[in-house]
Amino acid sequence: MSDPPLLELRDVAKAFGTQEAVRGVTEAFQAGEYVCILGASGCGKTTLLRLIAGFETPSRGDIALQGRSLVAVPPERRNVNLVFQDYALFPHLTVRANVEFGLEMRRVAAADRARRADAALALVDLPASGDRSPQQLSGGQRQRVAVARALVNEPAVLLLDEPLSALDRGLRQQMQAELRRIQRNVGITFLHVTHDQGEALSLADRVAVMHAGRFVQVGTPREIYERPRSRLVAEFVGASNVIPRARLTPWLGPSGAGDGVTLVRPERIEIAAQPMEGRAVVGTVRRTAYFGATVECLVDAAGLALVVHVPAAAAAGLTDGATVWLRIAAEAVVVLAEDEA
Amino acid sequence: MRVERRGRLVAATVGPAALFLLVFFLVPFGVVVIYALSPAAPGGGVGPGFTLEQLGRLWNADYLRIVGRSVRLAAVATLLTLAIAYPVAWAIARLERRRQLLPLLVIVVPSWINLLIKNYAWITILRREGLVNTALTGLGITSEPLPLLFTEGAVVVGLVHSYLPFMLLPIYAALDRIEPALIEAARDLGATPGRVFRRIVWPQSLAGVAAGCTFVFVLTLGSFVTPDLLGGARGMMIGNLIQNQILQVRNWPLGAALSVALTVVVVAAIGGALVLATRAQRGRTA
Repeated sequence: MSDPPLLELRDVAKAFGTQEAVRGVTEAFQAGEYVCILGASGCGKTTLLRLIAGFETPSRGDIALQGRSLVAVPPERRNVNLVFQDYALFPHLTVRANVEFGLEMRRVAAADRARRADAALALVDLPASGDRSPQQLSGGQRQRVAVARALVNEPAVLLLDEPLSALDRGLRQQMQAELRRIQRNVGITFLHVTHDQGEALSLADRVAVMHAGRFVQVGTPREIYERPRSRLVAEFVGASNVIPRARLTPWLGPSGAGDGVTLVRPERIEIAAQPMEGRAVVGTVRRTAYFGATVECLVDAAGLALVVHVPAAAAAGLTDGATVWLRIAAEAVVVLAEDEA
Repeated sequence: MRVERRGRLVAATVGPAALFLLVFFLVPFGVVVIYALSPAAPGGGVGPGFTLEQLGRLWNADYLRIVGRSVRLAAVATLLTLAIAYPVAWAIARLERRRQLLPLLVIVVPSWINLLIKNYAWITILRREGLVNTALTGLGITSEPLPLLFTEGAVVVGLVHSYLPFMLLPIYAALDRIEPALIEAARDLGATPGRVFRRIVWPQSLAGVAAGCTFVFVLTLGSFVTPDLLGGARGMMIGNLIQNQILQVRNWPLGAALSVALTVVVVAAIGGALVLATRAQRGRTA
């Protein structure tokens, strides 16, 4: 048995008029977890976060924190904090006053407030910027202040709404590592909403893939990537070849074939410019694209158009129009369930 | 070279406005100051010479009472306008943008009606046989009609009605710039709605409040039509006194001295508002 859950969602739904943004989410989150909620825009992930923060009231279901229902509790009395997408720092207050705001609202003594704000600013690697105004900071620094302002309250759960989407690529990767380090450091449960699958896979202990208001699969990044349950998850996370099972006979033999669709990740297909042992199928390279570390080949073989990823160092001879041999091992094939709806 | 070109640019942009102020404000005001320091000529105008007599006459219980009443009525009208305008501005600013236009028009369009017409409308409402008294006596709430017209209260009502848009628009503009996410962030950090207002909304709206209060205070302090029509003798303000001295008594130097006094009060009010607005801008009001 695992510990009793810290945060529990039971059939949580939210409708705006006739539009159902969240359509029944049931999930439990443990203390100290880093969970990414991954979904395309409009899938209901931000609404779900706002339901937990208390800015929306569920039209159905229950949200419980440490065993107590939050539904009737106003946002200011919930032991959760939200890092807003555009940070929402108070422009008329200094960085320090921003960070101390939550403590001040809870009537923490001034000396204690100052000490904890210093600790929070040090945690996000921004010491000695307390007297500046938020407008004087760069995007990355504002991001850090927003995290410090939320964490200083030591919430049970920290909610992050697309926290990195306003940053450019290099800074985003740096802040991903920072967020992970900070979360390890404080041990608070992070619920991080993102549409970036790379971010979700690299940051999270668990990923919840959300689509059309529901969690379609929840699991470790490895489970989500390697064992997606449905075509939707497979195609949303990473590049994928979705192949009807019957079309795999040339590789797997008649015993491996059956009904339904399967997933084969591009890097799980073996490719060579020379004949290979075993059940190798001949194909033709239609197009290649160079990505630095890997080369992507679009290969026509056995009536299928397959995407194959090869380490760039092993891509000799894989040029446009080349004849190649492809091998797919049985372990590389993931059988997908049909998507509901 | 560059400095010289910049200087020319400044002269070209600021020059016309500065010239306008010089010709139509500073020079006439200089004339008013000179009149205030001159002896009165019988039947109007000023005589030659220099005297502090008129400025000295300002320290007169009757005049000081009228100046005091003017400041008091203008202050009451300003605070009342603020109390009415702020919640309305807040409600409008919180609407979706495309729904804001109609309520703003409803507030601005009546201000295009002539001041006299608005004041006469109040006379028909407030007079002895007016709407309010007819209703009150008709319903048996009062046996006698109440003396509503020709009171300080009537003047304040008329002033608030006339100058409401001058308060509402700058406050609306300030409130409209506050990101809704800031309010949610404050709630998220534990602020009750009341503290959200005190710590987040009010400080960020101070510049608009200062602007609105300056407009309304300055405009109401110098008003003379409304106190004349709705206040009568009991509602006389400094504007009426000036008008009286210049046009009826024909003591121009005294009228000029009163004008100088009015200008001093107005400049003090604007200075105070500027200090407030700058402090709000710097964000040191917490």
